[in-house]
Amino acid sequence: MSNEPRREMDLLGRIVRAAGRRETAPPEIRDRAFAAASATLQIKLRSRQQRTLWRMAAAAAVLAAVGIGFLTLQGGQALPVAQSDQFVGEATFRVDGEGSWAPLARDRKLPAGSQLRTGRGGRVGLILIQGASLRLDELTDVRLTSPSRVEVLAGTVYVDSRAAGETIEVVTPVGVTRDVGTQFEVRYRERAQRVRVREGAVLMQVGSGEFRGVAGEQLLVSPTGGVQRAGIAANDGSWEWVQLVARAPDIENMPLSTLLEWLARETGRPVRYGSDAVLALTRSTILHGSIRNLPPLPAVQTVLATTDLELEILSDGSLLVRGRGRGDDIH
Amino acid sequence: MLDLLRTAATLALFFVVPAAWAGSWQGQELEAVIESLRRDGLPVLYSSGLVRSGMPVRAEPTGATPVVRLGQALEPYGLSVRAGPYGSILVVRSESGAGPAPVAAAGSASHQAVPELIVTTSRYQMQRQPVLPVATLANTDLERLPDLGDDPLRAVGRLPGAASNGASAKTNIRGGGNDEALVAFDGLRLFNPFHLKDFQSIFSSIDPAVIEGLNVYTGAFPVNYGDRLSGVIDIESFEPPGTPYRALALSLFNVAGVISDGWSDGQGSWLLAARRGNLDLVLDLAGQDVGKPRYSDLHGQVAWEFSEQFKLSANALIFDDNIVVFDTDREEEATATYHDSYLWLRADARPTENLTGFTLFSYANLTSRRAGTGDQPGLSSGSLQDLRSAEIIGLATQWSLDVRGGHRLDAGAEFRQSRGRYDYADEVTFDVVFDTPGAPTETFRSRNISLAPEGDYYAAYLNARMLLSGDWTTELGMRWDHSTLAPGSGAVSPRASLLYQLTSDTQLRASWGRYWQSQGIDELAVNDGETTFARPERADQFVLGIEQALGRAATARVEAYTKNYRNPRARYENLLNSFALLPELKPDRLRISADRATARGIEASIRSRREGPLDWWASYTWSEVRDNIDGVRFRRSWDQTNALSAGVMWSSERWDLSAAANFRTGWPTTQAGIAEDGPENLVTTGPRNAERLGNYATLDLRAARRFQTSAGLVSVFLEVSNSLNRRNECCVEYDIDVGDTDKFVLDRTQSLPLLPSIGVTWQF
Repeated sequence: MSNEPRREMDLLGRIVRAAGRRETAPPEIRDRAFAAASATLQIKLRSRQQRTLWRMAAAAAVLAAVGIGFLTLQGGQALPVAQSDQFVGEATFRVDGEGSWAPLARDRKLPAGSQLRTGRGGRVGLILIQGASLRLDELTDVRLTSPSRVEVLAGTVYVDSRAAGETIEVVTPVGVTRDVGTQFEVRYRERAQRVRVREGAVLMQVGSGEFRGVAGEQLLVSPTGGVQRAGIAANDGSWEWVQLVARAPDIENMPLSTLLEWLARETGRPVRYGSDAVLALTRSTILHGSIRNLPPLPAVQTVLATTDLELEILSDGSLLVRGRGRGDDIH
Repeated sequence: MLDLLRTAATLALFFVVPAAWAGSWQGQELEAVIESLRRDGLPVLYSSGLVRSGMPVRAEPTGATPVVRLGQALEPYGLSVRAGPYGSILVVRSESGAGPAPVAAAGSASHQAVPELIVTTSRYQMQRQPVLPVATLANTDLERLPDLGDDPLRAVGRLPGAASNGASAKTNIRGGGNDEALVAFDGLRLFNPFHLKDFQSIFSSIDPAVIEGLNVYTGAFPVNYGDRLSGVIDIESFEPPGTPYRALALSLFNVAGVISDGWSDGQGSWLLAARRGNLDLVLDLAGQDVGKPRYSDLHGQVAWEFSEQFKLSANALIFDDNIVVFDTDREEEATATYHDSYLWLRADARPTENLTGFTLFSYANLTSRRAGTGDQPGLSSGSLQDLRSAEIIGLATQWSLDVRGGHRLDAGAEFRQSRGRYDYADEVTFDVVFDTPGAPTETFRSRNISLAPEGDYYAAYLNARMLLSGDWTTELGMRWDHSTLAPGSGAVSPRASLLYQLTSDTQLRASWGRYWQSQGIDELAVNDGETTFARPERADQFVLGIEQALGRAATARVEAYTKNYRNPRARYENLLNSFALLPELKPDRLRISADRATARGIEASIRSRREGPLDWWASYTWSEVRDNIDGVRFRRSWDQTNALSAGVMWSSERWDLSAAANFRTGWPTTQAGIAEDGPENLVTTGPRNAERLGNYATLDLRAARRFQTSAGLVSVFLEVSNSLNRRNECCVEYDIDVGDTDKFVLDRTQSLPLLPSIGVTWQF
């Protein structure tokens, strides 16, 4: 084996060390540079994604053709568009629009056209086949028409599309709401639609009009078609229900800091650290085990019990991670 | 079906894994051991923050199960295992004290896996170990409290809302009668578990050596407790550690011993505890010629833990009293023997990760024989014989299902089949009669009652705890009780509690509930002429409370309550002297039959967080309780407008020092006398309970010193009840001063004087 790469690394190391520690750039310059770098990176990634997408699409088309042909020959069901995950309380489903309702079970694969209903206190979490998380509040009735299209017949749904491979459309009798990489909620009740954006942005189409909602905004469409805007904080108490059916991540070999980032997204509460040492500790602490059945806050509190850290909810709603019983005195 | 498969897999896991892990752990890295256990299916959750590379297992663990062995392997590093949610096992730092219960302590599958969230109001915990943050000032450390005779149930009297006459171990909770508190021992209902039952119930039958702690509800309690109106004293028994444990205790009031051991590496365990009261010996030594009150109790348990999912135990509690007692001038003399035995089997199970429960099959036999004579010239003379027995066979089951998101569903049912026997006879002549409603009106009475009642009791309940959106949590429950001892006694009790987390430091709680109490097979007052069981009583309670953390130093709680009684059962009291040896032979015996009653009050308390050697608490209660009889409101005899309780406990490695003070408004009493222009044998009375005895106050002290010797841990203590020897009025004695004028004399008598006690305990 050649020693060339190793020598190059040593050389790079010597140059970096010889340069010494660089001065920190002023924040505004750093932000501008970061934005420019991000934009360039996004363009590169997009073109690479497009190439990759074309190749994947071609492969998928072949596979789909084979699969559909196979299923047609077998006379089997349509391909699933979602799978049930966490749920609490009463939840039922039917595979087609006409059949009888059956109790929903966990890990149930739901084909296109499936209809789901939640009862009083019932809440359901689904993973759409393209990766997005779809959550149903109580007293909700939806139809899954495709992996990227959900019809809300009544009630409230929440979409977290960060992991989605394509845009999600939430359709109500009032209009269509599309995500732009976001967390948002759509409620349809009594001929009125309410869209709340927790993160990112959405495009809401009502009739011929299109409205853009950004994080922290609420768009209310009245039965007469009027649109009103209002504010909604990411950690507002009305988001609490979505945590009940949040899917906990697989924490095996995960740094604690990653789990805390998930907690921050799910709760909408910023996470603070008692000191730099605490922050460093969260990055170096590796987790083992499973928190699959736990909602975000209990999950993280359970995990923190296996460390020397603890979590405190501050009066401003943020979460403080600090040393257990020793304040921030972590070295 | 999935749950069944999961259960089967888990059961298989716990049986198979020990065999798979018969190999040596010593020398292996802890991380490698944990990973192997995880591969075998043990759901361990840990982090590199505590379990680091290069930490070898220092000594070969010997525990019977992988979890116990893991705990032993972690111990040298200051780590331990705890039960986590949904059956997981957490590796935690030992001294943290936070989080779920330790697995070792939770060897019984009955323990909840999810840390408990207290929604109901008025709940207090009193344990030997530091308690949950819900603890308030009254969450006393039973061992260190200066309570007479080391009686754990006496500590309940220090809680806000509790009222006690100072002599009895029984407590009136929030205006209720002293028979309105449910006493349960590990889920088994106990019937009047006190020694000296008909003589003020001075001590409870609960040996402090056999209990781990008390959960006390002084108000709106959840639906899994029923058939009592005012409160719950839920006793958690001491769980044998499965290793040799012996202790002896000798004090002025008791001599006691406990011995416990295990077998099969702690999978099986047994415990035997016995106690004998020394009151008779103390009275002899003090030269007090007032009789020989002897009592003793015994508790035994044998348990086998089939797996971490299933445990079976056989238990026994036996209480014995043999009492001869008379007053100083021997005008009254009484003898009594009581023998209560409880035998029960309890199965604790956790069939799935989130389902826990227990089932209990019990047999209780209660017998009492009491006889006495009284001859007080000018007042009354008579005798009585009172024989009672009851057999109760019971079956109870209770299950809790934890649902994701902090929700929980509790369901259970109880059944009791009871058979009793009453043979009561008395004959009494009254030389005076009291001109007050409910008092005997005839001058001669003779009763002869023989009864053999039989009846069943059924109950079922369902409770849902729901974490609502936002900071709201609620508990909604429904209970149904039915006793066939009295006609038409089916009763439904809806109950609801709401918790609102206002801020991270502030909690608001509200509870409303309906409570029913039927008359038990052992509770028929044949000595007062009752021959049929009364319809159940009802009380509606509403409690509103706020709890505020005061930094890291203390927690404050304020609660307001109302309790409205409907169809309260008739009760019997002595108008003036409640300390009589044979109260039913007295002319001031009253039947009080109220149409309804109302209790209300406000309790404010503050207690330290127990983070240092110093622990303290203080509370103030304003309250009132009134009976409504024919449209007129009368104070109940234990009405106390103002009550203060405060205490401080300081502990070091060798010393425990504690002081506790109680103050309350004097209890009500009634003016009485013989009118100069009236008949000589007619005592006229003022409005009932319109006056008050003097205020009551005590300061109790305790000091204990520990010595670690080669033979074990020795602790010596000195305890002084009513250390200021304050003369607290308890009641009014009355007599006819036989002479020229046969004067009716009233004399306010005192409750317990200064009572020192010294003792030693030896644990080895």
